[in-house]
Amino acid sequence: MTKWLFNTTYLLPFQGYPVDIKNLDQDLETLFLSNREDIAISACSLIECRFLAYSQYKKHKDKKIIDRSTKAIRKILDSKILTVINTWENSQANIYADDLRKKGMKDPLDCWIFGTAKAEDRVLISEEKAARKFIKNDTDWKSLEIMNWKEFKYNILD
Amino acid sequence: MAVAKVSLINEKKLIKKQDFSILGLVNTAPEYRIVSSGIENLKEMKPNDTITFHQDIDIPVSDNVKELLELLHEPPLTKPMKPKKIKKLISESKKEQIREILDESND
Repeated sequence: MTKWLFNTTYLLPFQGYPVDIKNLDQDLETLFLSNREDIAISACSLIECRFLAYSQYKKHKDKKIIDRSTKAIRKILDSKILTVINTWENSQANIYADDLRKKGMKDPLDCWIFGTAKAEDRVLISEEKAARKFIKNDTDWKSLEIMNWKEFKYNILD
Repeated sequence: MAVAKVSLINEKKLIKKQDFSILGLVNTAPEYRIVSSGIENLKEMKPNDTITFHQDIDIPVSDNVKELLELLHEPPLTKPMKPKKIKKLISESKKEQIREILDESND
């Protein structure tokens, strides 16, 4: 059975940052109402969510930004609707992340998220075209499948 | 456990293959049988096939999931952003937060 790993982008609507992807909110609602157990995120995505909230709080001086993020993360964890993978407990994910870093992927959190998807044998759902191209051109990483939201939608119906 | 009513799919409907919100639920809730048109599973379903459910469908949803989904209906903090802009925003946040950590450790 195919399993999936969401990149951070798809968590942002819950913390108040709508993403301009057609029907994304409705799709998330449908997915989460259907009690799937095959979708995960890396704990690194939670860090990215927190960094975004703290940074936006600093910029706008509005405590609602942090409160909303905290609430969203708490609900994601409490609902258990997504499996949260602790990347640092998976040595293989770290080895893969190191490989990407050595090959020039600059952002360590991205390296860990991609490494987690490969180590856990999950399809990575991501809108990042540059990273996708990076992976596609590397023979060691050909086994990692990456789909954007549109492709994911069609695939889970097959 | 709370119950979320899915009223969309308790009567005859024309289903298009692209109708993700309906098919997604059918696909992942196999205990709810499709009783008309002789369609036993989604793979046999063709665009515009008609399906009927023999009873109302209640998908059990936990209160935690309901509360999570309610967040999608709260007023957003920003206008919708393209994924590329979101990526940039996350990248800038990371840089800024790491700078703050470094500044703090230099103090």
